Amino acid sequence: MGVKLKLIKKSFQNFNLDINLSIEEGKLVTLLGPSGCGKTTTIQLISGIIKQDNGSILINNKDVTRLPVWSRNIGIVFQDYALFPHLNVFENIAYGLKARKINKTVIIDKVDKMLELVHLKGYNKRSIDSLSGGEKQRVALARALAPEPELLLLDEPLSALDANLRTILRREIRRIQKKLGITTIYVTHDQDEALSISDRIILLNNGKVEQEGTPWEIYNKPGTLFSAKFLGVSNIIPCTADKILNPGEVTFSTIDSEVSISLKFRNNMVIGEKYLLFFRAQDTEVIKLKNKNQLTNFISGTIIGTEYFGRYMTVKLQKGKLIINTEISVESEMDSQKVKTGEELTVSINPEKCWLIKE
Amino acid sequence: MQLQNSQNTRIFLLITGGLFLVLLFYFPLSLVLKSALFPDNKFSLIIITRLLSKEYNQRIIIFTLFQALLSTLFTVFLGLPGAWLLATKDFPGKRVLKAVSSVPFVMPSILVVLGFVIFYGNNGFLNRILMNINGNTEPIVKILYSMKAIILAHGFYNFPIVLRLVSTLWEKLDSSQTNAAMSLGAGKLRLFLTITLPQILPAILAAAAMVFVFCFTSFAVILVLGGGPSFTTIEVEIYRQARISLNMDAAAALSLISIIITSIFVFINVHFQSSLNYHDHIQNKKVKLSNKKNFNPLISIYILIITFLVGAPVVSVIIKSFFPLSAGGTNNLSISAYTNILNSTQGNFGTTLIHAIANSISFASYTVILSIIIGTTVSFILKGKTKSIKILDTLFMLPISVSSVILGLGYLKLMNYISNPSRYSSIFIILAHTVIAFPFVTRTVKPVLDKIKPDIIQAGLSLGETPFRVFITIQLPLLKSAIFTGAAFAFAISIGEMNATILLSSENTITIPIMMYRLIGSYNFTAACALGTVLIIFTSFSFFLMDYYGSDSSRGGI
Repeated sequence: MGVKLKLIKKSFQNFNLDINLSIEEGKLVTLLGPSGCGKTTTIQLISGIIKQDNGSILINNKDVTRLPVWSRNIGIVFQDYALFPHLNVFENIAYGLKARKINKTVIIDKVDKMLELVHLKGYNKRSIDSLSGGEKQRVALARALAPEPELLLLDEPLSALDANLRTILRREIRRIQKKLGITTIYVTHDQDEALSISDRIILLNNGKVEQEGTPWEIYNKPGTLFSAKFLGVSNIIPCTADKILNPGEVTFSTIDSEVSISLKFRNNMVIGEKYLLFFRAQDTEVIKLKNKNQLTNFISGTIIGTEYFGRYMTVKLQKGKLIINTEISVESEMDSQKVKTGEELTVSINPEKCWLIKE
Repeated sequence: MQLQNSQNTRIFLLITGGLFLVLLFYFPLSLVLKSALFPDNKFSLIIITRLLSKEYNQRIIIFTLFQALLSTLFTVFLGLPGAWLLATKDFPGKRVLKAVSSVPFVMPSILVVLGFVIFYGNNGFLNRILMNINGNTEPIVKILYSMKAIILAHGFYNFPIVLRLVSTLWEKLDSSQTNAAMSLGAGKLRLFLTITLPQILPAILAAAAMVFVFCFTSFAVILVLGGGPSFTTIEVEIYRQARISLNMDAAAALSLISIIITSIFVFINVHFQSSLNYHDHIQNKKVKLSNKKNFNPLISIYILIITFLVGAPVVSVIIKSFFPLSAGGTNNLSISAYTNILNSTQGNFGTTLIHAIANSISFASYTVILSIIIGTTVSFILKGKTKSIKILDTLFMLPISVSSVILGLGYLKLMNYISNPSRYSSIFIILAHTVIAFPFVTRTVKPVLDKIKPDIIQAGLSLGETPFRVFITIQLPLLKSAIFTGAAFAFAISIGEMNATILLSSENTITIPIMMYRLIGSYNFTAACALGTVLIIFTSFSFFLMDYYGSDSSRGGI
């Protein structure tokens, strides 16, 4: 059950999509990636708006590969709403029901239920022009859900809205999705949106699946350099496995030995092997101790840049050729004034939060 | 201070432009209305009721409406498939279809008429080809001097209006709406009937209303292809009453009826045109066309028909001009028709052909200069989008919707105020042409002017330039392409104008179209075709200028 894309291939002039994925029934899965990575193409293929060159598509074990768009029983919410401007709210939501030749009284009832679901009760007669952006998106969602599709596709549904409304509406979408238990594919390039709304995230890059996992896995255990770079502010440092301290604990050093860090690993490491050491800016902490010699897993460097973000500030440290992004929480004005460009700063790196990516 | 200055400039422009329009459009028009409604200086409907009571006039009015209706239906039928193609498909020959469909825009009506006679006539190219194939001795296609010819010619002349207006809107329809409807379960027919058609309907109705007005006031097509009293329309009758029967009151009364009827359709057109704007919020999306470059036989057939319909008559005129009918009744290749043009002793109707060409060029040149000045001035007057500007826009653009035959009649009335008016016939012709042509300059210049951001001007002023210098060094260069396009438009309109000209011209001010009309009337088709070819050269020249600068005016750092 759910959705399966088997060996789907689609070629455009300068772009090849090559995808194989499976989505569990009732889950909300996000296709995340930079623009041009193939997110929209993938859902256009699933919906049948465009045809694949190769491969097959299964929705709830039914092969829909050869079915036209209108026979696939899919609900789509488009980025620019795509509401029909010449029809009112009721007529927009009823459109799919009428196409299915459903009894009029049933339609009236159903539309009312949908409007209630999206918190737009009583909007039946309103014209599309009179709606705000958020209301339009709610109508678009109601319209897509009214015919009770087997699959809901959301193509960057919130990108036309302002930040506050985006947060409110993504919670709404998640609430409705959970309530109806409908299998949903959500396309976005916004990582916060993806992390907050999804059961699982599929990270796409250049027409291929880069990594798939829960939001926690995607954020904390990037499988590739691309994954590591795409989400959040992080540090990705080339390093070499140096020596084995205890069984399962290995010391790594950077090329010019700016940092030496010991990490615990279950799997066996080969000494001399090259890795990318990954840790996030927020997984560092400023060290106030004078005697730094006692410390492991730290770095001292010159502050070369700071940016203030209210709750915290980001600080760029340089040591030799190495540049490290750190994040410092700011609780008082004093805190923010302590950090000045040109001064020395020492931060420790939490080995628990480090992650190795095979180069 | 600065604001005061630009306000003063605007008032000055408004007075200049307004004075021109009042003197040369509203005053002559009011003279026409006055003689229809105020016989003996007292308001009375006697002339109108007398006119309407005659069965002859009733027949003319009904026929005018009837032929306009049929022509409109045929035109929409001809244009819609093209609009669909241009809006939704990418296909080999798309550029050709676009180019071919813009030809009728600049084609003088008399040229279309001549092309139809030469190609579809009983002894025309089409019949000769068909007779050769069939071995018949009788012409097979007998459509000339009939309703069919009128409708065909009107369709030919006006289908690009449908094509342009409808495809422009159709293109703007958001493709995700189509996808949304399909994902909701709508098949292709349901999709068209519930999503596409309701949204392109305003464009279809706007185009149809515009076509109706053009067919209703069509002149040269009816005058030549209709032929005879049974196919007379109101406009032709106005001309007949004014120039042949010399019954100015009847002509004025007919003009009033014509104005009333066309106003209704102009109103319908304006109404639907303005409702087209509600798509503006979604139009910024680049339309993705289906990238199938398939060879589709239906598309090819349509393009062939259109190319044939537009191309055949034009090409026929050129070919015919090189094959004069010799004394023995055979057609041999010869350039005698052209040498006859140059031969100034070859008199026709008291004027030589070369004289007509010289007149046309001279009138068109003056028209271009005057139209640029007036048209650009009016663009500056109408800059912006306030309510009062909308009213001004209607007042200044009204000349477009009043038929040029009626304008010519107004000028005839105006001439009554002058002693020895035939001496000034050329001035009146130039002024009439300018009134007809300047709105087209305004229509091309104003959108570009509106797009010039005020901060560009403010930047110029802040850098120390005077408003006049800013106009010369910034605005004018940015408007250059648009002005050239407008100038080419004005030239094409003037050189092909026949309706007002035929009412105003004397023996010394015969132009190419008038001369062609006379040559057709005397069955001297070869000479008509030679002049027609000259006209084709002039109009193609303006067409290429428009095409060249037209594409350029959308650029230009604005």
